[in-house]
Amino acid sequence: MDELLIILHSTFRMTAPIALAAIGGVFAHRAGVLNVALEGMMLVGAFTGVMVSYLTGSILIAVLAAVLSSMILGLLFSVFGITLKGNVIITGLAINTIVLGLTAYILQVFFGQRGVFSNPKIIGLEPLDIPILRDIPILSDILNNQTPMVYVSLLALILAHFVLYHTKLGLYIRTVGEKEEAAYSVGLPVNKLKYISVLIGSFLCGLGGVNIALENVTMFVEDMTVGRGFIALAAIFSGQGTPIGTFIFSFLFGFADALQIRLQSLNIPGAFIQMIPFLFIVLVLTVVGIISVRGRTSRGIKNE
Amino acid sequence: MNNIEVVNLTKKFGDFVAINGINLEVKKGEIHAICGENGAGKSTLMNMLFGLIEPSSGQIFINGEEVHFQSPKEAIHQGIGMVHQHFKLVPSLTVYENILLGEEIVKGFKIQQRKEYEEVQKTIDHYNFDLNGKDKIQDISVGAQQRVEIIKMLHRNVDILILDEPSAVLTPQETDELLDNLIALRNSGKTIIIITHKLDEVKKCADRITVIRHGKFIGTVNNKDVNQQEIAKMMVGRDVKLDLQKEDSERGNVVLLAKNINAYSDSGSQVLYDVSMNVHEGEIVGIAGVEGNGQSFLMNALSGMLKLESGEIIYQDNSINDKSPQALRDMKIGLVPEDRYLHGLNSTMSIRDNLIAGYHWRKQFCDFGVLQQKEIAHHAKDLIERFDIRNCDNTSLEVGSLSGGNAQKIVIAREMSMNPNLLILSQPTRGVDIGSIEFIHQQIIEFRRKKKAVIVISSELSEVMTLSDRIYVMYKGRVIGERLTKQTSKEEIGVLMAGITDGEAKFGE
Ligand SMILES: Nc1ncnc2c1ncn2[C@@H]1O[C@H](COP(=O)(O)OP(=O)(O)OP(=O)(O)O)[C@@H](O)[C@H]1O
Ligand SMILES: [Mg+2]
Repeated sequence: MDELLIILHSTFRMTAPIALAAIGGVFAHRAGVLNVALEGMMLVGAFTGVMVSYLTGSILIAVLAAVLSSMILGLLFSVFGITLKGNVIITGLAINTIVLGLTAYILQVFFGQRGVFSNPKIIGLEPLDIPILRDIPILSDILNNQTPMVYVSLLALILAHFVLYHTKLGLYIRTVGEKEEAAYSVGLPVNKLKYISVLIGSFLCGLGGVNIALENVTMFVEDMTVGRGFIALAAIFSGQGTPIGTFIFSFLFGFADALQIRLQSLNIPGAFIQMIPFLFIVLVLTVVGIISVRGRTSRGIKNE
Repeated sequence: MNNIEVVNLTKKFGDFVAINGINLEVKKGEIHAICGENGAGKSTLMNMLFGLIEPSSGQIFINGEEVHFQSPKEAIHQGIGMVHQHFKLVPSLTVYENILLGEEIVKGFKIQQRKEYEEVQKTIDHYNFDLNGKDKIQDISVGAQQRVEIIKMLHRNVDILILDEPSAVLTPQETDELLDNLIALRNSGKTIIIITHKLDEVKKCADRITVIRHGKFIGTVNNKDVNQQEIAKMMVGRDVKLDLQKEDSERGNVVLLAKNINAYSDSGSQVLYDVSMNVHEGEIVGIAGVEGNGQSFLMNALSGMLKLESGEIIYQDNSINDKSPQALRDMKIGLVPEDRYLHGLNSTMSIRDNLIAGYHWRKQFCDFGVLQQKEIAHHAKDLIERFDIRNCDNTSLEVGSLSGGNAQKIVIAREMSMNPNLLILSQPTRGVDIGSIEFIHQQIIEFRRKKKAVIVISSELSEVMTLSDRIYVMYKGRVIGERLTKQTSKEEIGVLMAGITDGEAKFGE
């Protein structure tokens, strides 16, 4: 029982960055923009967060800077992918590659570090001890003493659901993604809506990135997001673009991550254990895929 | 007083003059029909009135005032609404959400869904339309979707309503309903402009008719002063045979035989029940039925796009149950799918490439994996001439820029030119002008003369009646009747289409 609670606690912890990126990514997904730059946006958030925390000693400024850097990438992505109508996949991959190279480069040139940057001056995100929650049995074991981003990820879920289904902005975003001509025909600002969607995503990716670097470990490691941006994409697709579904799949992937960490103490080669989350994703995607084509009778292109 | 006055309006696309100095006057409170061949420029003209395209020169006056619309929004603001042939609705949203799109009722940030629904339902009820505001677009029929488009405009208080080929996708019943609705709207003071190829509809609802040809104004006439033949002549510039002559034909061996086929749709409901049919050499077989009674699924099953649950389709003594459309084409079966833009063409590919699509592996066009551009261009030129496809002098242009009817002719030309043994056509003349319908029908009959087999699936009963030697009638996924055209009447088929049989005894083989 205790074991389970510990794993669940750690699941929420591991879920937070994936869920933040995924829920953010839901907006672009619903606006019909495939944003594969979630990964790079998170990584730049992690990097900027660590650097600014080190330089200023203020976690608040660090978080703000992380979000800002991620949103700059969002803007870059939008300019190339939306305004200039470049291929969004290539634009996204380019951003990922640039961030990967640039962070390693800056690390080495300006901080003289290779691969890893860790320093006692880096201030991290402290877990929160929440009054009422702490007294509720079981729930407190799972949800109390988490870093702020875990609570932010839950908040993001609720907000995203509200925005998407109960506000003009959400309705317009869904319209743009589902039937662009309908949006044009009533004069909706299609490109602006796509920009907003991408930027909401990069905002949340920034938060997710900070969380990876500044909770628990407080350091930056080259490529430390290790594909979480893509895991987030998988969560969006499996969750069919709904915030709730997306969160559920993020949680599943977070669970696989937590399990992996837990198993690292066993005497199995580390590389095998680290494969678990990814094997799990392949498994989940396969199952989701099989379910969605089951019962299809039409061959070739599906009538949309 | 004139609601709309267009003076010397011209529109050029590059060097091509689509609209050439047109003058048009539309009176307040009339139904004004615009007629013309495919590519005459009807849609272009209307798109200019609605602010979707900017004129190259000329003037547009609305209620006496000159306007220069930059966007549809401005046109709507001036009281002009347009319903396009291809609907611009969001499938997953409800009727009321679509109608209010862009004009939501909010309190703070939250959309007041209840209030929105009530407002919209009020408008729907005011105009007496058969619609439920809470239904989702994806769950309602095409006819209902069109009503949503109309209400969407009316709710924005437009006085002038433009409809571009509104009946092309409707069943006959839905069309009647639409015309009734339009007449009621006219009587309540709205001005309506309708583009249509169907002259009986024009006769039924229009007050005045304007004909354009090759982008030029031909004339405006009062509906009561002309008959269909005369309108057709104005449109085409020559006499058009509205009814077709075909000599008797001796039928030969069975070419295609479908035995008790059952099939399900993607959503898991059964769509074909024990369908059996056959077609012989030198015979045209028609499949009649009100749209949505399984004809589309039958077409998909015959053309290899729908898996069968059970049953068998035999073509020239071989089972073709699991053959892809490509394999079928290689076996000399020509396929003209129902939706030209979905399955018939690739709209972003060039005209000439579309004219070989599906046959691009043939040695003639593709040698050692390399496309023979010269041969392909030559082939395109040849077909364009033979099939009289208009306005495609430059065959490297996208098919998407062709008018609807010309795009359809591309599909027909491609499939017929490969000289198949069996030709399966679904809605072959949808959106096609009468001159071209005559032409396509003659081509189909020419096929029969060459002792080929033809299957024609059409929701136009008159088309099935004129072409076919034998007719199967479909109702709710079943073949509920089979008749020899010579021994039946439009009325009898109509009754069968409504699902009424009395102890049917089948005949013939
Ligand atoms: N964007 C465009 N670029 C180039 N040519 C165009 C464009 N839009 C239309 N055309 C050409 O202008 C002509 C008129 O087209 P339009 O769509 O107005 O015809 P239509 O009368 O509506 O025909 P149909 O009955 O087949 O719909 C056609 O020859 C078409 O190829
Ligand atoms: Mg048109």
